[in-house]
Amino acid sequence: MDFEETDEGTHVVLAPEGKFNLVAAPPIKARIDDLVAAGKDHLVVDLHAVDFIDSSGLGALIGGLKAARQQGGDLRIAAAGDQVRAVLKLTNLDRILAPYATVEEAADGW
Amino acid sequence: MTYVSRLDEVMKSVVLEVDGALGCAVADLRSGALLGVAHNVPYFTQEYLEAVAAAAVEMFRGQTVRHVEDLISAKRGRPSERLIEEMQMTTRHTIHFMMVLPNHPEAVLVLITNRETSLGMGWSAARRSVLSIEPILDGPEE
Amino acid sequence: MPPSTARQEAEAIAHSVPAERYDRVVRLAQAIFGAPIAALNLIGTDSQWTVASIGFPQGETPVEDSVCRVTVQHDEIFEVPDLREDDRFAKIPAVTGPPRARFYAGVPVRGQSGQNVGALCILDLVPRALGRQQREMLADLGALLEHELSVQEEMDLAGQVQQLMLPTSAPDIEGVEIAGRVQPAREAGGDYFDWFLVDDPEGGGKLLQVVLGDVMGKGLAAALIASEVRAVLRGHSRYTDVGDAVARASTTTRHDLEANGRFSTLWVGRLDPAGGALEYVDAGHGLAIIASERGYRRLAQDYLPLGTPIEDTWTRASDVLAEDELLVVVSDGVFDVLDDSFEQVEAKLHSILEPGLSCRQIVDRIVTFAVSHEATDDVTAVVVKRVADARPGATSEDTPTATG
Repeated sequence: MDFEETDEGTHVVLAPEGKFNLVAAPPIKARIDDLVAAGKDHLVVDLHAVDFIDSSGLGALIGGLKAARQQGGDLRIAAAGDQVRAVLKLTNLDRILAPYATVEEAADGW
Repeated sequence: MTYVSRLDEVMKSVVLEVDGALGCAVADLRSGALLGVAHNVPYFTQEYLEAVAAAAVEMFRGQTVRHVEDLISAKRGRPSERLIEEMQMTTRHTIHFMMVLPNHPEAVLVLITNRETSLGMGWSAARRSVLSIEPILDGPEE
Repeated sequence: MPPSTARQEAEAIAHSVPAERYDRVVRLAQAIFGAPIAALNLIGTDSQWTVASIGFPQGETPVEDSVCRVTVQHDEIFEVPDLREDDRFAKIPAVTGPPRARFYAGVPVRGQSGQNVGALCILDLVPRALGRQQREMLADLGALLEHELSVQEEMDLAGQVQQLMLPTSAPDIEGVEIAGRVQPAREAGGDYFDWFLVDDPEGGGKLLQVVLGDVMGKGLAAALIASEVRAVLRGHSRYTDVGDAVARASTTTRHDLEANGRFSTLWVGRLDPAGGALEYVDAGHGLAIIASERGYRRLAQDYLPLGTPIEDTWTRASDVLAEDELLVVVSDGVFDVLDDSFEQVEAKLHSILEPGLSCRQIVDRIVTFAVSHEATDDVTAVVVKRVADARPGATSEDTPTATG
């Protein structure tokens, strides 16, 4: 899966597209790990173009969140669609990955 | 289906099967006549196809070629035999896979592909098509 | 062919789900040798099974008409320059009739057991011989195929192990009927269910604990983690209440889940069949309902799955399973198929939960429904019902059809 990456200075925005699943999750997780290792530990994942997420996608986000927090940063998600929000709600993972409406709101304060 | 159209159907299936195939034909080595043909190239006119069939006949049964076969047979102390079974020809833009049908030595199959085709796949398909062609040449028309 | 473990192994492989990976090797053989016919044949006791081929029909032929049956008796390539000249093969249908093969070369292929289960072979319509390089290439392809076969056998075995670990027999307790089923997306997967008896920590006697777990991901990796979660939860469940058991299981498995970057949802219930008192913990699962003619209610909580960065404090909730109610727990493989809100899920389940069906029948209906709607994930369902039957531990298999 392709994803766009934008460095906004105070944070980096990753915008994956399409299905955030078993195949798409590892490269995104790997990119998050690389960014965090390079000191870019304030991350926003813009999900507006993601039409489907499964447990592997969730795992990548959770894993990324943990890596970012360990370095004193954070990972937030923005613009999640209906299916993504439904899955987050079902698993209660919206408690740790609160879905922000926009990238700006997610990055607020950074 | 007539004999000719059944052969045409087999030729069509070979062209569809082989990646990069341009055309396929069976020709009579005695007369140069086209027995069956299929192609997907606009400039393969009847005149062109007949010329290709004639060239194939020339390659397998031309005088100079026969002469070489006769010399070899003589050296081996055997009566004159037609020895050439298959030929592959590469041109600037094409590959020709040509083979005499094992159980019908009067007929030759010519498969023409572009240069991107796998040699092994081309030969595999050409040799396999024999399974469908020979029964048509064997039996009387239905 | 004399029956033997090798022949049985071959038949097992022939009947398992065929993989495109066999087709790939056969296509390579075709291109490398320019062979009109290439095939992978498995040799059973009475039949040869052609499981992948070009130019030769797939399926079953009598083993006495096969050439590969001789190949499996060797440990190196078996070549016949002209089948017509060999008394063993001159009269077999493939030589006397279509495809009228003349040349054969086959390399024996071993299964996991190390014994020859079949052969990768090429055939030609004219007499032929392979040179040394070509024989080496055929041997290389045989080795590739052996690797594919062994990977497949290993996965099938993992799947069997997983299925055998699921409970099938009725729990030894009166007044309850239970059934469960997992349909993994691959041979093995991250979904599992479990049931077993525990002593009521408050001294009330035996309770039935029902578990449905869903480890993130699919396949063997998820299955390995699922095995661990299952075992750990079983261990902790014996000594404490259901909330504490989940909390302890989370602590024990935390390291392994995090190291593997996976989380696991869990739904754990404890039922007292006598009065229907039900305690449960929902760790991020959310797909358990109590259903009856009177409606549905969801048994969900806000807790996180195991393996997330936050350690939750799982506190049990309570409900009561009435005698005319069903407890239905499913994995999200069922939910995914529906692609709808939970309210619409309930509506669809209504058509599945007909009164009078046994738990086994309902479980099968749920799984069939998900699979027929092309579920791509593992699919699991567990259904529990209280029964007035005085016999201990009825499963649907034992229930007389008169009550069905």
